[in-house]
Order: sequence, then C-alpha cells, then structure tokens
Amino acid sequence: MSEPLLEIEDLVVGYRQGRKGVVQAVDGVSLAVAAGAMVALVGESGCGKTTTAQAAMRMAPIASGRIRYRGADITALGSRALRPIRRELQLIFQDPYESLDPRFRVRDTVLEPLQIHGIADDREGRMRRALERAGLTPPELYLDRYPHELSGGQRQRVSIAAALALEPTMLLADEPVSMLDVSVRAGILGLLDDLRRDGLGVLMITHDLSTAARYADRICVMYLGRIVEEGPTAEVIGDPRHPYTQALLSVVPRPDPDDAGEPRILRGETPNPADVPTGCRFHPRCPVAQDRCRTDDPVLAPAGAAGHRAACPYA
Amino acid sequence: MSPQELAEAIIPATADTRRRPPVWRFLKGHPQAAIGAAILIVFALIAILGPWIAPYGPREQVGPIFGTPSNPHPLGLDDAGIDILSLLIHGARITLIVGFTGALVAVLVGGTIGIISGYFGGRLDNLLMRVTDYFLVLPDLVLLIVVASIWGRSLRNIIIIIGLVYWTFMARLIRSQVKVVRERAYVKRAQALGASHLRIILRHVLPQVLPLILAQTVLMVALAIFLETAISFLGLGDPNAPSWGRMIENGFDRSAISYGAWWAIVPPGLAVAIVIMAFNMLGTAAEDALNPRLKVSHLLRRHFRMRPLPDKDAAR
Amino acid sequence: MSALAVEDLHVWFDLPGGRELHAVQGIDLALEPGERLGLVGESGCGKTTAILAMMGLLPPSASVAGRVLLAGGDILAGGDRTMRPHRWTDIAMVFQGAMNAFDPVRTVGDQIAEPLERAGLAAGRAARTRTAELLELVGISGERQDRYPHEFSGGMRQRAAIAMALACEPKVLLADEPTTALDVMVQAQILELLVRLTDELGLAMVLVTHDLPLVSQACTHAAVMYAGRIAETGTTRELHHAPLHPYTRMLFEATPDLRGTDAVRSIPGAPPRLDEPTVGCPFQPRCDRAFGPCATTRPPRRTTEPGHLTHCHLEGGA
Ligand SMILES: Nc1ncnc2c1ncn2[C@@H]1O[C@H](COP(=O)(O)OP(=O)(O)OP(=O)(O)O)[C@@H](O)[C@H]1O
Ligand SMILES: Nc1ncnc2c1ncn2[C@@H]1O[C@H](COP(=O)(O)OP(=O)(O)OP(=O)(O)O)[C@@H](O)[C@H]1O
Ligand code: SF4
Ligand code: SF4
Ligand SMILES: [Mg+2]
Ligand SMILES: [Mg+2]
Repeated sequence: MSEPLLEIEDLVVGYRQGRKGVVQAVDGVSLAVAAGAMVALVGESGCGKTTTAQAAMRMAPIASGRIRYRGADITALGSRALRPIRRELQLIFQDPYESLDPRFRVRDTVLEPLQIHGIADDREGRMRRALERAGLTPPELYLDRYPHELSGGQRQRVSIAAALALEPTMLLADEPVSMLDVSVRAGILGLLDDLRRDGLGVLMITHDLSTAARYADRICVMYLGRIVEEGPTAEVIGDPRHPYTQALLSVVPRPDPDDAGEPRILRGETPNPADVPTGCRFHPRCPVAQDRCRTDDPVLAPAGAAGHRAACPYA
Repeated sequence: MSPQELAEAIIPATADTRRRPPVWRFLKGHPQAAIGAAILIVFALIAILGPWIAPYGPREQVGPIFGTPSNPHPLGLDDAGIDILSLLIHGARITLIVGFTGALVAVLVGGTIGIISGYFGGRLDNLLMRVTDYFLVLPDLVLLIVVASIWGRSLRNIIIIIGLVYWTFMARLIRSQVKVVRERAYVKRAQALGASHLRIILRHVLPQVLPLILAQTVLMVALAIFLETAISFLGLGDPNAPSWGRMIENGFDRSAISYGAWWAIVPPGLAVAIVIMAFNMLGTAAEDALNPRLKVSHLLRRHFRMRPLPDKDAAR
Repeated sequence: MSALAVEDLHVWFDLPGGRELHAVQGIDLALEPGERLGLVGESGCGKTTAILAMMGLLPPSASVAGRVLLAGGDILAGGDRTMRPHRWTDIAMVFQGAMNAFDPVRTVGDQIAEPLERAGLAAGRAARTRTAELLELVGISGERQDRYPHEFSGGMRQRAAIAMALACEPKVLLADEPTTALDVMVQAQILELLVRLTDELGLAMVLVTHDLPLVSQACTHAAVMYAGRIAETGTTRELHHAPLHPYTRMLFEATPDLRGTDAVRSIPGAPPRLDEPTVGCPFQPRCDRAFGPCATTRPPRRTTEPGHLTHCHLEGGA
C-alpha cells in the first residue's frame, strides 16, 4: 500500500450546545486512507461518522487532533490555502434532500464545482460525463430539472456527479448509495471501485454492512465518538471481536424470509454524546459487560489477526 | 357529490393555468393581496401621470381662500386658494417617492448588515449587533428632530431619517433568517467545494432570503409613508415639497378647522390611510406566503389535478 | 374490507416543453389491517410518487387518475378536498429523506405536535406530553423535543419523522424508505417497532424500500415495481422462493448477502424513459428470459395462487 492520502489523528470535535457546554461528537478518532484504498466507516447513527468526515474537510469545529492531507497538516489552514485542497478532496453529503440547493437545476449543481475552481475548458462535456457516470442517462432528461422533480435516488446521483465532476483524488462519501436500489448501487460502487484502482482514496460512511463487506479494504466500527474496532474487511466481518460489532452483524437482515437468523437487538436509547457513560462507553448496553467495564475505559488493542484491533479487553 | 363538484374534480386544468407564474397563483390565493395591489397600481399611476392629469398646478391660486368643494374644484381649495385635488395628485408622487426610497435605504443598509452579520457570525456579528442595538434604543422622535434641525428640512434628509429609523429592524430580521440558511447542508456543500463567501451569499443565501426581503420592503414602505407624514405633521417636512403629510400639516397650521374647512385635511389623511393599508395588505399576505416560519411544507394543501383514466387499449 | 386499496392508479408529471412523464402507469394494491406490504423497485420507478398520490400530496405539476380506497370509500375522487379529512388522521406517511419533513427554524417537538394540534387532538401541555411519549416510542428521550433539527443526527431526525407520522394514530401508514438513513441496529429496532404497531394496533403499512432482505424480514407481502407498473405481487415467501417475474428473481440475485458466498449479479442496462410510451414488456431489453412476444405485446396479468400476480408472458415461473 502506498502513502496515506488522508490521515486523521486523535480527532476531537465539540459542538456547542445551548449555553451549558460542549457535546463531544467525536472523541479521539484516528484513521488513515491511502491512495487506491477504500475504508468503510460504520456505526450507530449519531455516533459521529458525518462529523468525522466534515472535520476532515475542515467543516466542523475541531477541538484537538490533526488532519493531514498528502502528509501536510491542514488542521489550521485558512480558507484561501484550503481552496486547492478542496478541489482534490470531495465530500458527498449524506442527505441529498438537504444538500442540493432547491433553487439550482441539476445542470447548475453539477457545473458549480467547475465554476468555483475556474475550470473553463469543456465544462459542458465534463458535466454531462459526470452525470452519465453517475447513471443519469441520458443527461438531457435531467439537466433542467430542479431537485424536487427528481426521485430520491436520482438526487443522490446528482450529488455523486457533482463530486466526481472535479475528478478528485480523495473522496469522502457519506452514505452515497443509501437511496439506490441494488442494481444502480452496484453500478455506482463499481465505478468507485474502478476509480479506486486508478488511485482514488475513498472513505465511505455506510450503514450497509453488506456493501462495506464487498467493496472496502478496511472497516472501522464507531460507537459514540470512538472507533471501537478496526481491521481488514474479511477479519472484521468474519471474526468480529467487539460485542458491538457482533451485535451489529447479527441484525443485518437476510434475504430469505424463512431464515431470520438470531438478531441481537440492543435495547436502550441511542447513546447521547452529551452524557457519555463512565468506563467502557458501551457498557450500559453490552450483553457481556463485567464489573470492571463500568470503570475502565478500554483502548484499541490488537485482537485476532494482524492489523485487527478492538477496544474491549474481553474481545 | 354535486355535478358541479364532480366536474371540478375531473376536468383537467388547461395547460396555461398550470404554467401560470407564481405571482398569479399568489394573488389568486390571497384576495387581500390582490386588492392591495390593485389600489397601489391606481395610486402609482396617479403619481406617474400626476403633472398631466392634475387640473391645476400645485402652486396655482385658482379661487378664494378655503373655497368650498364645488364643480370645478370637487375637493375645494386650501388656505392659498390652491385646488386640493391637484395638490393631492401632485403630492402622491412626492409621498410615494419618499416612501419607496426611504424603505429602500432601510432595506439596503439593514439587509446588507443583516446578511453580513448572520452569515459570518462570531465577533463581527457581535459588533454589528451591538451597533444595531444602539440605534434601536435611540428614540425615533429625538433622532428625527435632531437630524432635521441640524441638517435642515429637505426631502433628502427625510429619506435619510426614515432609513436611520428602520434599518435596525430589517437588519435583525434578515440576520436571523440568514443564520438559519447558513446551517443548511447545501450552503455547507458550497463551502466544502471552496466557494468564496461572496459567491455563497449571492448564489445560495440571498435567493433564499430575497422573498422575505421583498415582503418586508413592502411593509416598510407603509411605515416610511407613515413616518414621512408624521415628520411633516411636526413641521419638519420639506417646505418646498407638497407631500400629503405637508398638506395635513398646512391645514392644521392655517387653522382650517376653525374655518370649518375639513376638505383641507380629510382628503390627504384618507389618501395616506388607504395607501398604508394597501401596502400592509400586500405585505402581510406576501409575508404569510413566504415566511418559512409560518409554513410546514408537508402539511400544506396541494393542488394536483385529477384526470380521467387513460384509454385502456392505448395504455396496455 | 381492505384497509387500503389502490385501483388503476396513474400519475403524470408535466415536463418543460409541454412533455409529460408517466411516472405511475396503473397500479393495483390491496392491504388488510395488520398487513405489511413491501414496495420495492429500482430507483425512479415511481414508488414515492405512488404513495404521495395515496396521500394526496402531489405538486401542482402532477395529474392523477384512478381510485384510492380507504376502508372501502374512494378518497381520491374529489382531489385535495376529499383527501384532507383523512390525511394524517387515517392515513399518514413517513417521508423519504429524514430532514425533508422538518423545518430548520422550529424545534422538533413543535413540529411533531403540529398534526396533533391541527387535528384538535391535543394542545399546549397535553401536546408536549404526547410529543414526549411519541419520541420515547421511537427511542429518543422526550427531553430532546426542544432541540432544533440540525442538532439531531440523521438517524434521530428519521425517527422523529416516524414519531410525527404516528402522532394521530393513523390506520394506514405509508413509510418511504424509513430506515435508509439508519444504521442496522436502529433499523432493527424501528422495524421491530413497526411490526409491533401493525400487529397490536391493526395498522396496515406500506414499506417502500429498495432493500429486499428488509422486506423479507419485516413484511408479509411484497409488490415489485418496474417502470411505473407492478411487475409482481405476492407474499414475501412466494416472491423469494417462487418468483413469477424475471425482474424479481434478478433483484434477489443482485442483492449482496453478508453471509452468502454467491457472487452478486447486477442487472445490466437501465430502466426505460418514462416520458415516452413503451411497446411490449418494459423490462424486455434487460430480461434474460425474453422471448417472442415480449418485444411487441404488453404482458397480460396472470395469477397462479390467489393473491400472487404478475405481468409477464412466461408461464411456469421465472
Ligand atoms: N451542528 C451540530 N450542533 C450540535 N450537535 C450536533 C451538530 N451536528 C451533529 N451533532 C450531534 O453530534 C452527534 C454526531 O452526529 P453525526 O451527524 O456526526 O452522526 P452520524 O454518525 O453521522 O449519524 P447518522 O448515521 O445518523 O448520520 C449527534 O449526537 C448529533 O446530535
Ligand atoms: N415533480 C416532478 N416532476 C417531474 N418528474 C418527477 C417529479 N417527481 C418525480 N419525477 C420523476 O418520476 C419518476 C418516479 O419518481 P419517484 O420519486 O416516484 O421514484 P422512486 O421510485 O421513489 O425512486 P427512489 O427509490 O429513487 O426514491 C422519476 O423518474 C422522477 O424523475
Ligand atoms: S469492555 Fe466490557 S462493556 Fe465494553 S465492550 Fe468489552 S465487555 Fe462490553
Ligand atoms: S414479459 Fe418477457 S421480457 Fe417481460 S419480464 Fe416476462 S419474459 Fe421478460
Ligand atoms: Mg451522518
Ligand atoms: Mg422515492
């Protein structure tokens, strides 16, 4: 594997909430994505995946930690110095209902990145190719529509097209295919896979473990602002060590209606980052919690095969 | 179901009603806006065509002092024997111009500060809002007496006073809207792409708050006309510009009441009231239609059309 | 009597230049109380449009034909006028895209309480209490009702949207991809919740999704849509074990299974344009079983078991 493109080191992100204080949505996350690699970030909703990606784009309030892009520290760069980096580092936003300007036609949304970065030659052609690559064919059918005139999956593909129009070197994809059906999804992921082979680095945030299992090299599992397990895909899926990962895998629905499997549905509310439990942050919901878990905060430690780590001493 | 209801439900709307511009749909859905707009169009025409349709000049003595309403002078004459109807027509232009430009000054100053403050936030926001607060606590009356007596009584100064009095309101309103728009994911997306602040403001933020600004501008014109009338009534108006406010002031000043010459005061008073009302009707309706605070999109009434089932043979 | 029945529903959208897009081309569905129907199909095939039509929430550029029967009575006939009394109180919907339903300048609780207040079911303090209950029902602490939407994660907003749809205790719930924004754990919780609600309250539910395993696990019945039409409907078992339409089979084959070893086979090609009329079977260019009549003749409606329907020329299964 080559040099890491994007490195996130010990990232802490705090959102101000009310007058009272700060919510630590991300609390000490480290990960790295190399050129030509796809890393999947999975985890409960609200655990800080989007915040991590946005912080990597310098769009969330970073309290501490480092973001490095191609080895250069960009944690404190001003917006002018960030501009060239923002051409190479693209973010596909999670919610295509919110992230497309309702007053922009498809054409304008996809052209916008090209205009911002002053790419003048063959704008129209680039825009069309991006739409085609994202599976919106023929582009003419969509160019003059507003977002509200598109289906959910079509909006998502417009987002993808806008991100690909600049031919980025690093892609942060926040649930890029959540609204796409299996065949379109396979097409988009196949495209990302091809681009990846040409050197694109991808950090893919997804809830879909089956997708992560098929396309990612590595999987990082997040829980309440921390990475609790990470490793090569086959390891994490085939030999999950952290009880949270195990539970997560057990509830992935199966295609056969007669085979329900043994889902281990965790009870209790989604944990609140404003109120992090002491000790292991998973202990109130952990099916195998021990006394020590209430007080000792476990760190990522090697578990199983090489490169596989989990934050649970009983893993 | 009555036959009429049935017909209403089934008959497909013709192509042109579907493609009617939103302004038309807005006026149709808000009758009071249509009435307001109609009144304003009439007054605007009067103001524009004033010099040509007024029977006499604004300084032309055409009869006795406080001449009673009669055939050639349906609204009577004032203390200098000038035709009130003609004065009213000439005054429309001055009053509306002062109202519009005053509102425009307030909107431009307030809108710019509001957008900058709301978009950038942080320390700049604090500073600008502190300045706004100072202006907000300054009593309007004092401000206007001071400015008028220092700078003198002229239309330009009245416009500046109106701007000074009302920009704070506009700034606060726009700021709060911009603060919301700034958090929207599509603005974040533009930031992530590396778009400049100017571009984001012009292409993503402004179009979103513009409808609200327009609605508020309309309301602001009503306020500006009211303020102009009040300023003139206090004797601080431009002595050379016979606005409606000046007419009222003049009437009181020359004791029209003790002459029993109600016609020197009531017509301009009524004109002011009607125009303010019309602006208000239009403005509140526009605000109602545009203010996102008042609307939850998914609970709104929808206007889809029903049509007959397609011919089976053609469809299958 | 069916809780919800849809007969020959069509929806057209006006496109610029006087053209039209026939998004829904005559679909039939029927749901008994307590039944859960999964509506699946390729992106853009008209799922959202179909259920928006059932709610009467289409925009002015849409025109509609057909019948939507709620407990036997047609609520579509009079357009918005006949829809309005039933909307949210008898038939409710969870929108696709969590954030979509929320106004960014109002608190989440305020917005959940809105349908309650509109229907005159609760106001003021009572509405707050009910809102807290509804939030707890979907696994969010009731105290959080005073927060603004952007302070919720995507998944929490989606759950709040479900809470809002359930506010007036409707009898029919239309859920448009209610769990796409959620992780599998919350998805499992929500599905458990929806299954419980349909069982206990006799709620009939249409679950729009593109996730076949989800339908297999959570629904009793399924309808597969293709290019604005129903390709096949039946019980989830029938569709999985004995599909009648090749598209159904190919969808299952294209679905990655976390545990399975089979390679997924994606469906080549793209769905047809909906702004032009199609001849023959709309799936013909992509179908691996296409034969003689497929290119020219519209496939008839055929049934093997009661309730198991398909539009395909093939006899004897796909
Ligand atoms: N702008 C904000 N202000 C305050 N709190 C926020 C803000 N954005 C996110 N949060 C909080 O931070 C936490 C993490 O949110 P984030 O959106 O990163 O979660 P996520 O892992 O992406 O979840 P999902 O899978 O549901 O999208 C949540 O508890 C959320 O409520
Ligand atoms: N307002 C509109 N004007 C024009 N076309 C529209 C409009 N809304 C939807 N469409 C088109 O109608 C078709 C059906 O859209 P719909 O939203 O129902 O798809 P869907 O099945 O829900 O897809 P997805 O799974 O991607 O959400 C699409 O091709 C879409 O482009
Ligand atoms: S440390 Fe304890 S509570 Fe945490 S995951 Fe391991 S067993 Fe469970
Ligand atoms: S009718 Fe023919 S083309 Fe259509 S699905 Fe059946 S076999 Fe395939
Ligand atoms: Mg997220
Ligand atoms: Mg949809």
